[in-house]
Amino acid sequence: MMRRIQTGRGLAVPLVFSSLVLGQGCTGELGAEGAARPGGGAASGGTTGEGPRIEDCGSAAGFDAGLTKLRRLTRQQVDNTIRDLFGVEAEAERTLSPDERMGPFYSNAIAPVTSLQVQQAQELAARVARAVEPRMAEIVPCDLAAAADLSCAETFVETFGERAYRRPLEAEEVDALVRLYELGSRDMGAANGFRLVIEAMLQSPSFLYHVEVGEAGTPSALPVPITPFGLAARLSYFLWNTLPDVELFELAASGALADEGIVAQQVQRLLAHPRAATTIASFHMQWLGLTSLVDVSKDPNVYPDFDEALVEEMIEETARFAEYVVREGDGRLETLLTASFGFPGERLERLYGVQRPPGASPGDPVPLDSTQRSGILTLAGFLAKHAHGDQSSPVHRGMIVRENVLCQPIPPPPANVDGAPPTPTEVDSTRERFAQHVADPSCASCHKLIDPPGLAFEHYDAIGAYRTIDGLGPVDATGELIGVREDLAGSFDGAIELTRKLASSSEVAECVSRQWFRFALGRVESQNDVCSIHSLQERLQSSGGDIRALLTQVALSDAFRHVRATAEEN
Amino acid sequence: MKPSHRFGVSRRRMLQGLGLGLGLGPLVPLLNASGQEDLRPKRLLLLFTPDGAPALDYNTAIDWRPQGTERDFTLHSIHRPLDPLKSKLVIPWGLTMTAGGAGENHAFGMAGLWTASTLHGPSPGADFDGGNGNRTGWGSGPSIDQIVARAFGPDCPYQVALDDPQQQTPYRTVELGVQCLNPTSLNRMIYAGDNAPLHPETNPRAAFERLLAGVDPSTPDVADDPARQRRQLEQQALVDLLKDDLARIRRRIGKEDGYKLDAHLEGLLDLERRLGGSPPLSPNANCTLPEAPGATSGRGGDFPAEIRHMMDIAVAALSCDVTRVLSLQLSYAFSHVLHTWLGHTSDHHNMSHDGQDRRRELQEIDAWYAEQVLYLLEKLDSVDEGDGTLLDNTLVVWGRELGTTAHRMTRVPFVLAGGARGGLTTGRYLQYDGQQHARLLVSVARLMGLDVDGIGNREPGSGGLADLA
Repeated sequence: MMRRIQTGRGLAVPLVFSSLVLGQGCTGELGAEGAARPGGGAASGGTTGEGPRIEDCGSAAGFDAGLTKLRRLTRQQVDNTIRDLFGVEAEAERTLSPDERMGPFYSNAIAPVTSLQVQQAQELAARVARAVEPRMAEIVPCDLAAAADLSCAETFVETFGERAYRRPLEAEEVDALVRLYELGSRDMGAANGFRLVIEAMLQSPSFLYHVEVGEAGTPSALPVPITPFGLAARLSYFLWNTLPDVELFELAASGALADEGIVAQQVQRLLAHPRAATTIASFHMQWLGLTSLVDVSKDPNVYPDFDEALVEEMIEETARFAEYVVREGDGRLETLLTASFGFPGERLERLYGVQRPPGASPGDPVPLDSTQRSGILTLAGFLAKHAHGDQSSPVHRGMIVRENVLCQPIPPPPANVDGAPPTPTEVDSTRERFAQHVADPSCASCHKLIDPPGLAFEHYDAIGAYRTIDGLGPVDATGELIGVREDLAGSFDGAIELTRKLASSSEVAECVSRQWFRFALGRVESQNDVCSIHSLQERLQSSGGDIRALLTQVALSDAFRHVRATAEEN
Repeated sequence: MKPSHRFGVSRRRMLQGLGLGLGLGPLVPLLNASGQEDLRPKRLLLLFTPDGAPALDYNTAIDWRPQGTERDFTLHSIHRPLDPLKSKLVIPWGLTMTAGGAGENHAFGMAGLWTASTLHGPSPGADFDGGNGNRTGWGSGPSIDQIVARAFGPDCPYQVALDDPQQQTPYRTVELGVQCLNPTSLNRMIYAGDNAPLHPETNPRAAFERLLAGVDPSTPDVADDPARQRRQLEQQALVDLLKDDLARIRRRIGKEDGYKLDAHLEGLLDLERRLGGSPPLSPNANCTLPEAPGATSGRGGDFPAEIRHMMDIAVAALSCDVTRVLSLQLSYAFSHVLHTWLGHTSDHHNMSHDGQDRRRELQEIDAWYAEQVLYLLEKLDSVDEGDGTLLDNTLVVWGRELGTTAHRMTRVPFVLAGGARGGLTTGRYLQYDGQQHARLLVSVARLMGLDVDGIGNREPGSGGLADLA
């Protein structure tokens, strides 16, 4: 269903309402195709027509792509792009309004800018242009003092503009910017002219938005190949979160990116570059709800050792673990979810009860006790984030597994439920305190889905330390997974066993594929993307769970290499 | 290129046209639309602090009602720091929040606080955590500040229409906040309209630079300032180029995304309107600027300092006539601010639900917020505006998204302050037990010179509160 909502400012915001039925409790039939929302599950954002069926995937009938959205650069992308253009800090993270999220990932794909945000962009552009002005001689392609004729400005606009807009400029764009240079340099010198041009470029929608279009230049209701420069930018922002480098621009200009083999090679090249480390880490932090780990606080009466330094180590370890596995390690999803090594600093070494092997340098993996730690979900960062200030949280941990790892959206609890966790006591266990969830039938329909995967982590307290006693007795981390596919369903004992089951589950493989799709394209998938997603999942499984192969396939998918501007021709 | 801002035209030239001399300088009183003297602008300031009155559980909240009679009363401890300005307050006790819709109470309370409108359910474009696993979309109606700012009339803050090229202030509204986090329904309270949240500026340094850096009563008129004329010329050419860029992109993208470019263009037009350079030559001799704030981290420990900065900026923005309608949002629904400076070890929202009796700590938080509000009110009251003070010409409405920390939506602790330029009789405590807070918003609109009977979509036509004016 599509309807237009007239906002108070006369903006028509198209919203597509999903078929999600709220407040109906949980039926155990979660994760069905299409019955979902961007918060976690599958999707319905911008479906046009029916979309292909799974059976069509791989054949011509499976060719399709969801609606492209005009996305504004995220704050991180603005910072990175300006850093790579000028070598200056734009400080977008501090000066622009925060980003939206599509699913778990930062992407400004829906909300229109407000006047404040346009002004913030103006201020940022002016600030950067002023900061660049003293170094203008290094940036412009000619002698500033002798730059009286316009050919230098024209060259600058063409070459620099191509990088700022991530595509060659059209003739009328060049003309307009050169005219602006003329005005700026009149009586004030060439540097002022260039400053004004830079200020304009950084406010242009061609800089501020990902303008992804096909060659024809007019909006098409059918998927058409994205322009080569558009593809170069997609690759670059996907894996580096910044503008393309010289090699990508050259491949775009030569038309070589039409070759799938070259696209695949480029994915490997970008992935091997140190810039990809941040992007890969960032995917995992966003996917697992860890971007706000920095703000986590704990009750110091219960956890006196918890402080900012420990949180810093947790963030560093989780980020390093993810990018190490994907980039330097064997790249396998199973390793990500079950490996028993970490990257602890001194504080975390104490928390884990391990010591760095002699001779190991910082950044090397440190073996952890394999009976206690199994993959990214058992690192302290994940466990501390998804917990309360004074106790663990089977609900928070269960929800993140259901929604973000299994892509199963959970309906909200009924109205008037007091969401406060029961107060911890000396004598009873977490499981006992949360027993009402299964005793009360109105709670049980959902909590029998949520709580078991959460209780699986009961060996870890609210800061991720391993424990064997909870209350007066030994930890009971057993449970049964229901509402999942057969290869995952059934009983387990603790996080070690649960994470192993997750690692071999087709449902997790599919979910991880979807999450990478969302991250790469900055939007939630629609029914038209079914075969693109399917191809990711197939590649992941056929490669033995190789995430690097998955990432290559993302770049080769129909959705990544095509755009679909509109649901119907204008 | 044409000067489109009032200061581009020059207040002095306007006065000359009316036969008033330049020599009057900064003592020239403001003129209303018909050229009469002696109108200090009327201002509106909305203020948010998080969560409700302290409660042990759903049925046991502290009773924060003042003790005494309408004109002779004692403030409850959560408001006691305001005592020095009691004569300039109105305590409307007993209002029930006109709010509802998706999410739980924090969420729809936030969306309804200034709109009396429903919080939408989630959609693929707007799907946020609304507390306890509930999902929500955005709110569905404009907030009262936006309604007031769009209106114009002799008794309103503004006397000229929104699209009048001769605006009276550089900004029709200003939204400020401290630690308001990312754009989700729990973190936003100001709406331009249905599904159209407005984001507050939360960086004090940026707010200062934008709103106040150019404000200087001694700044020469743009006609006498070649540097500003030059800048205006350059910026106009730049904006014209950007408009062409927007039009070019519009031809390339699908019509589904057109609304994004519409919004972007609207922002550019707002920028263009302010191109005159915008330091308003305030006629108010008491337009004084605070120290420029330094860079702050935006994280927990800086909360008190950032609040002071933002309050200083808010007062200057109102006293220097940068805007006449302003909102200030301190924290957000579900506030996880940890009040370490009060010796607390657990954060605001956690303490409201941790099962222990936290009424003492929660009252400490409330009283601390009241101290901050006192700072703001005293600052407003320290600005002399002839017959009275800036506070006397302002209506301050202090609201919260809940009635109690245990999620009741009744007896929401609202506080009114300031005289609304003679419209509000202050120094009173009024009982409105069980009445809808939509009526308060109607009264706010009426005090701001609007002729309305209802605000929002939940209790349309509610009418106002009795005895307020």
